[in-house]
Amino acid sequence: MARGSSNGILGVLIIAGGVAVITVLAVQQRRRLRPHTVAEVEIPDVPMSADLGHLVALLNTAESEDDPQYRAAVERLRENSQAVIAEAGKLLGAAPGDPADNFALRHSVVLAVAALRVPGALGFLVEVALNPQPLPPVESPASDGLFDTLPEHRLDAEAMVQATIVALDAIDGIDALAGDGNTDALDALIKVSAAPSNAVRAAALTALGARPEWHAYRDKAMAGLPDDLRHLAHLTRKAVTDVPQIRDPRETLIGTGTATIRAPGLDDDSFRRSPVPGAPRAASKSTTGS
Amino acid sequence: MADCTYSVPDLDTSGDRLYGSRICDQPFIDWAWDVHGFNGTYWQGGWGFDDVCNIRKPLARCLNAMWLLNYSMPDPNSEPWDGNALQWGGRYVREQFKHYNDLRAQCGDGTATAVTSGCQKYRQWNEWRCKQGYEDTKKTCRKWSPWFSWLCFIWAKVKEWVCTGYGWVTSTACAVWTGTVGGGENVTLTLWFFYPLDGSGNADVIARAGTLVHEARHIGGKPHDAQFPANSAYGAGGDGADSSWGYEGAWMYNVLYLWWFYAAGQRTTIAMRKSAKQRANIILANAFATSPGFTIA
Repeated sequence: MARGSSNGILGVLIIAGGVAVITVLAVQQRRRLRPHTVAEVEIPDVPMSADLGHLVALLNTAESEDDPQYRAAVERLRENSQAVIAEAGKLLGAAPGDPADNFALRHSVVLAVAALRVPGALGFLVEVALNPQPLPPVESPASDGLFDTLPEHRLDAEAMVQATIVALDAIDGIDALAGDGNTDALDALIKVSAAPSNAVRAAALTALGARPEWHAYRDKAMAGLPDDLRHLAHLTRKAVTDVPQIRDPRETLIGTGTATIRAPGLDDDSFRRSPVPGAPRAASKSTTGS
Repeated sequence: MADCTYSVPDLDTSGDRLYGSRICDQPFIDWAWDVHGFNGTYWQGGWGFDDVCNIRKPLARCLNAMWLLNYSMPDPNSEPWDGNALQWGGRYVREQFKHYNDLRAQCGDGTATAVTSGCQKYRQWNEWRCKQGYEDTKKTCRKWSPWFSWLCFIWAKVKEWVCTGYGWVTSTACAVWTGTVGGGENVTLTLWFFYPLDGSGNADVIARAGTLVHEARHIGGKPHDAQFPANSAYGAGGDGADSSWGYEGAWMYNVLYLWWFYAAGQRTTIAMRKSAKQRANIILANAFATSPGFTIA
């Protein structure tokens, strides 16, 4: 009898403990999932000269390098290239926290300098190409919470990716100069191929491998490669149509692939119907932003 | 006082002003809100619900990426599954997100731009991993002597059953958790998805679009399966890489979308396409345990 009651007490304790654990987890989860509020802290705009600012604006509005306005802006900047390169150097030298210390701006500025295709830009481009230094990786947790909350796109890596994108822009500029017959640019690509970045090395080495007459330069660059990175020297440039595609994306859908309808046509009025309940309202046509 | 704050860098170079002028259209907003499964509770309090055309605010910046995904192909009226990634990329994202039907925005803790909460990791067993393991073991069995290969085939089948059972148990347990106190299956975009805070968040519209494609692939039940290669920018030797291009994981989807966008993207800009190309090249060089062997021409 006594054993029966003690078993009963034990059972109650186990159930109570289980309920307590689930309650704590539920409270934690609820706290984690509560909606947050957010607000903007304003920062000043980045001043830029009219000529460089115009080309940067066109890089961010024109669809292709064949755009007549874009081509004219490049020509105009070429006449004043040294001043432009000096200004670009200042913008890229912005200290951390400065409004100019911003990837998208750096990307456009380096594209602008690369588009000039003047030998005087080589020093600037090499400096930019060699700039990204791999940061020590920060270990982020593999998961957060019970049953798989998957963190994606580690932020310490994203900073490195952005610095590397700008470096690759610069390498494209160096490659273009090499294509114009500038042998200093070929030597620069050898120098860049020793940068401690897989993507930078790969870009420099594939540039040197792109033309048979440059292969002597590529072989020279290969000599400095560590053994575990030698595959980078054998990469080939390909068009997207020449690489294996995804066989059938529907195989990886969680649903049937028919849950949603396509976007409203660009000139299609069929979507101009009564408002969808719960969707936000477009109060004005203005896209606020100074 | 707000839970978190952000600052807004140049709106032209991020592409937000270009795309912002396009998203401010009520039919598009209605459509995008519905097909991506936005959860309105999480887009109030400064996130942009009451100011959806304001490209300084998170919601408009998210819609910019969705506009890019759905209108960058040559013919936005055609998005066949047997076409290229530029054609079906937007459709793929919205099909996956709509299934979860719970797209949120939160401050985040600074470790990720987006967080997918759900049972995708456990679904992989029954959806493809057990079957693939069975096929791989059968291939090995065929190399055995015919006298003994039947033993190997039985072993392969037993392994498949155990694998399937494990998948069933774990995915059921996960479904019970997420369906009760776990908060449901959802995708949460953090402040770093919308803004390049301290240089470590998404800086332009194409980067945001790439994140959405990547997350959508994870929802499809294929987690990363390998360690990053030597000298990888993502942390050599750490988990999070895809084993190869042929694995058809999130990195491959990510690259392929960016690559097609670079090669054939419409209604965009020179800077945006080049950003896509360079980002894809970086992933190719750093995120596959076995190098795909190519870069973007």
